[in-house]
Amino acid sequence: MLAMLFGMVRRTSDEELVRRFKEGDRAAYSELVVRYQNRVFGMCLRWMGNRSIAEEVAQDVFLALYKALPRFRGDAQLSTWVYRVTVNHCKNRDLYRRRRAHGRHESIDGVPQDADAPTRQYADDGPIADAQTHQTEASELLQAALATLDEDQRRIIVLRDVEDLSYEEIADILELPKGTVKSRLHRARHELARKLGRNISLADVV
Amino acid sequence: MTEFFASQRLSAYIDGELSAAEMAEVERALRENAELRAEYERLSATVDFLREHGPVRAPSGFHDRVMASVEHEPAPGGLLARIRGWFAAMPVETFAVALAAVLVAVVVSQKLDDPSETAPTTGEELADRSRSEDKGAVPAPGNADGDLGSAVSTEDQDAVQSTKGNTKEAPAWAEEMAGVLLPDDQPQKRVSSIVEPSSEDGVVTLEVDDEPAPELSAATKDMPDTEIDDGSTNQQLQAAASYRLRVDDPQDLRSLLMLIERYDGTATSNGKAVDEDALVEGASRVGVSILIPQGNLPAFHKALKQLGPVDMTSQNSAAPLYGSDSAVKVFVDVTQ
Repeated sequence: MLAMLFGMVRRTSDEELVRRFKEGDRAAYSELVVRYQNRVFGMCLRWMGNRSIAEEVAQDVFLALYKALPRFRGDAQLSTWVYRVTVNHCKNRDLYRRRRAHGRHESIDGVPQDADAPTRQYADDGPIADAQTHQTEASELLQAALATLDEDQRRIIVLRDVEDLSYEEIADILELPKGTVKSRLHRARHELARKLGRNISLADVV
Repeated sequence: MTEFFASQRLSAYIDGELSAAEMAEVERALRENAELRAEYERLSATVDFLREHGPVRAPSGFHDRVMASVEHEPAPGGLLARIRGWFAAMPVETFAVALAAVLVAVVVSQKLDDPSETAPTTGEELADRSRSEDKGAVPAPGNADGDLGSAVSTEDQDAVQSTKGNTKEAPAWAEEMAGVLLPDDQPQKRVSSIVEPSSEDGVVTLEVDDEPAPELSAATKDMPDTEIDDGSTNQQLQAAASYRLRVDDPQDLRSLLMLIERYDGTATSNGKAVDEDALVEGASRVGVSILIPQGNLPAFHKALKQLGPVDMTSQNSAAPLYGSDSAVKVFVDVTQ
């Protein structure tokens, strides 16, 4: 009886969902989307700094996962793999934005504008537009501070302190030595603390 | 432990990533140094702030939009899955390093407005062309032994050398692949390559559309030599990875070009720099030569696989894919 109850409440593992999906069960994929959508979207948002672009990229990630999952062999954890795919998509889109933005003036606050955002958004794009859609003032502040970090620092700090991944997982996803992750993370936190400290008092943070 | 080292270890200390001895050292430094303590508190507060305010929720309706976006995708377990399964078995890593450079022929199929060229639509016709190009091949760049530099392993150098003669044979799997790409009995079958990140083993991703594409006979014909050899100062060819890549989505082409730029490479078509906008807006079929500095090649190739447009490489590193009956031709360009 207990075993039955346990079985009823047991959370289906990622591996089980992947297996079912490979057999043609789209519902399993749907469950994986539910399971990972916040993490994937969050990663994209913290990277891109713009909700509409983040959503586009996140959708691309899930489309890519749909196509690639049938050949996922399970050598790595699914979560690690999903993050790796997300990072690659974000890198790709970021690269595209930079390329398109080449020759344009950067905004005066140093925050890069979104080069591939729709034209109508140019006037109010970036952290300001982003701030309009963020839930809390703290989240807006954090987004603005993250946007001032360089790409390496931002991706590591997001993976560690927002997504709560281990050093090993981050090293695996970013294909960096663990020592590099450690040192970059320290610099990123130090830099972010400095940025946040300009805007809020320590007491506010704490 | 000096204060400097203690400072450098504060993040790892916060994360509990230090050894017991290192932790004790940091704690002692914290007790003795008020400035270090202040830094520790600042970092801790920052971490707490990130953990509290960093996570976000996906927008309302996001899940539904994702599911709608895959609604028309082939169901897993179908033909696509089987094709991918074939390629998943390839040890591309080994072969990838053997590439002195990658020449990619990109077929942009937005418009097909060049009906004048004769198109081989069968594997036999393609093989004929491949053999004729084979005769024009020049030795692989590098020293007399075919040494392509540090990026190439001994095993892979052997593989390159093995292609120096004109007696290359396509491995059996290549013929199978050619059959997938250009089935003689179904010349109208539309083949497209899609951009998506590869799995950890870097698998070739191909997608065969179920819908017949009448324009395929034009889209799949071999690139004219002039399009492949851009006449640059780079030494041309002998074995490795050339493949024809059909790009249906302009974004995919942009992604590819960005990647080339990132690794200090060049993309030319008919000897001219590729005009991205012209390609994506008006091109019907374009051959693009991609040249990547040797030192960047392994990283480029790795990134390429992650990006999506993927090479067709041999599962047998000693026999790089080459003409013969395969629809896939093989070239190497090396920047000097």
